[in-house]
Amino acid sequence: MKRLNRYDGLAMGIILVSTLLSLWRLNIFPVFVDIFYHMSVTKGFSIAGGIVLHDFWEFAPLGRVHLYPPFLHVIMGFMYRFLPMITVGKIISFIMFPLVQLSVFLYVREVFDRKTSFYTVLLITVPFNFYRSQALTNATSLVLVLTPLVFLAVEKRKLLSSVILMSMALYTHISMPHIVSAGLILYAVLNREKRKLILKTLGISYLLFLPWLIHVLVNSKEISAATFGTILQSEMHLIPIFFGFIGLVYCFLKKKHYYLPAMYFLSMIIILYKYPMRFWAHMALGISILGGISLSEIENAIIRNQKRYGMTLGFSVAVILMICFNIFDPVFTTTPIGNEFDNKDPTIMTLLKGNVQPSLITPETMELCRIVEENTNPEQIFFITNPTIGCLITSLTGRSQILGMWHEVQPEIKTPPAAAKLLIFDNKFLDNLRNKKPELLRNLKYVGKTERYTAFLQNRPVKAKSRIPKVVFPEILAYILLFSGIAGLIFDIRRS
Amino acid sequence: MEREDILKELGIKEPGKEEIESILEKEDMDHLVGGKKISKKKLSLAFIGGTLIFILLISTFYFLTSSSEKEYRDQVRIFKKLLEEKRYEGKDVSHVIDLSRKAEIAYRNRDYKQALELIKKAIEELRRL
Repeated sequence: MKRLNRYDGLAMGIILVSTLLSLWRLNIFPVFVDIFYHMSVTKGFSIAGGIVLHDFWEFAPLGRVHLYPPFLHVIMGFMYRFLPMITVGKIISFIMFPLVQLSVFLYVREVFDRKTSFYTVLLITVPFNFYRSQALTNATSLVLVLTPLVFLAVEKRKLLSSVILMSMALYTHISMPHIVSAGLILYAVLNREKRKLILKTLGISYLLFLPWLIHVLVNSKEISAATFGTILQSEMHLIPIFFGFIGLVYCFLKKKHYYLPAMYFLSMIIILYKYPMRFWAHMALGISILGGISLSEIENAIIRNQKRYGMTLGFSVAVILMICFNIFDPVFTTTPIGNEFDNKDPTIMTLLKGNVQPSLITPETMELCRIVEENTNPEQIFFITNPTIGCLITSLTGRSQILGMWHEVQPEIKTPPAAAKLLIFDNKFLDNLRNKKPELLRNLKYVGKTERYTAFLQNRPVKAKSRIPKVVFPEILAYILLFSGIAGLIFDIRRS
Repeated sequence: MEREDILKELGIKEPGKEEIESILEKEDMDHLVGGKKISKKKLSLAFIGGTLIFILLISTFYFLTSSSEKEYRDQVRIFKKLLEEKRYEGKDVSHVIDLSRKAEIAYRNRDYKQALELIKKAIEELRRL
């Protein structure tokens, strides 16, 4: 481990300030929607007593095949043993940004140098859409946290660590880790020294991932082929992208270990095919490393011939850039029908001003949870017009819902709302129903109301119930495996 | 990087190997350790190449997403501002308003090119007043 210097101080300062500001804005966590899906899966596993291969908490009563890799849910499940579910969701949503800052800081610092690592941390902190995506797309975010650590382990020739970290990534998200693999394979093609280690890492990791891979492949027909968004919908943060492209070319010219971030960034372009909008957020990891390399080399080139005051000049450049990049973030936004150049607030400035959407955990959603819990038995099903809030209710009450999130996987059958014991309609939907099909409301008993929703109980007896499937991997074994992995990492690091 | 190069870079006469490493660590110059010599040629090439890719990306997206519809809306904003100014100055703007109405009809019929031409003509007329 290298000694700390003033560039480390700057990098850690950025991480500390952004983390403290996030803590100050803790009420925005958990951010937006994805976390509620993960919270509901965690609750589902907790009710079942371990990992199951069938969702019973969504699209009830029949549910659907469960294809989402379980690593994040095992971590959340362990936390849930000691903390309330909302706290677990808040922590997971909050922690991913500081973690990715730290992991990229470590990788770049150890493999390149401390100045490059400072510039990388600076660039990754600029785009607020990356901050938001780290808080929002929790499983992908965890893969992005693990990615620089996989790279570090590969560069340091630590086979055990690289296998453990890569396997963790594979068990976290269904597609994102394969981008890491693609980057590593391209790197192995170009860098003969690391080829053997990379092939061993990927070979063993995919072997360990085989059980879940087979499960996904067997049920692959359940996965929808839809593309989310259009390629013309983009948000380009010009500073990181500009320096990132310079770094991309520079890495090709420098070769050796410089190839890895370049290959990783090129592999990320695959995201444009399925999730064009997400690409512009997730790319920040790859582009910041490349941008960090170029900015650091530009600074080195400036101070090269300055014998006396070179170091002070270089450090002053770094400080000035740090201030500027945290004030100005020129962004080019495009949609299929237009585009615009705008100056957006960078992450630190946005958090400082507090221009952020509040969380969906509000007194209203908590009241809905209370209504569901008080009016249903654990095996009874509820319907709500907004399945995201449905997932939140499931995660806090354990009741299964008729609808669900993560539409990439088809439900077995789309059950009509009439199969639910409790129905929660948003007021607009209710008005439409009153006007168009008032007969549907005849057998319903009013049980509660919030600002936007009204809840009814079915008067007639409802037979549909959620059924808990057989556990394929008990909770306790999952925790043992999790801690064995962490112990393996510690052992491998301490060995040197 | 060669020992001589490091010494030259630091302007130091004859320190020992450990001393060099220590100086490099202390002086934020760990980029010089392990053969990571800065190549001005490579950096210049990277700067030109990176800038070209950047311009190519932005211009491609710019042209793919620029539309007559958006341009029309931008022109309408300019038109409204100018119209207000001319009215304030007490100029007769009735014939220009006719043109803008025709442009609006063309816009509603999704004939964006025609709408754009008409609104531009209206702006020109306003400027002449």
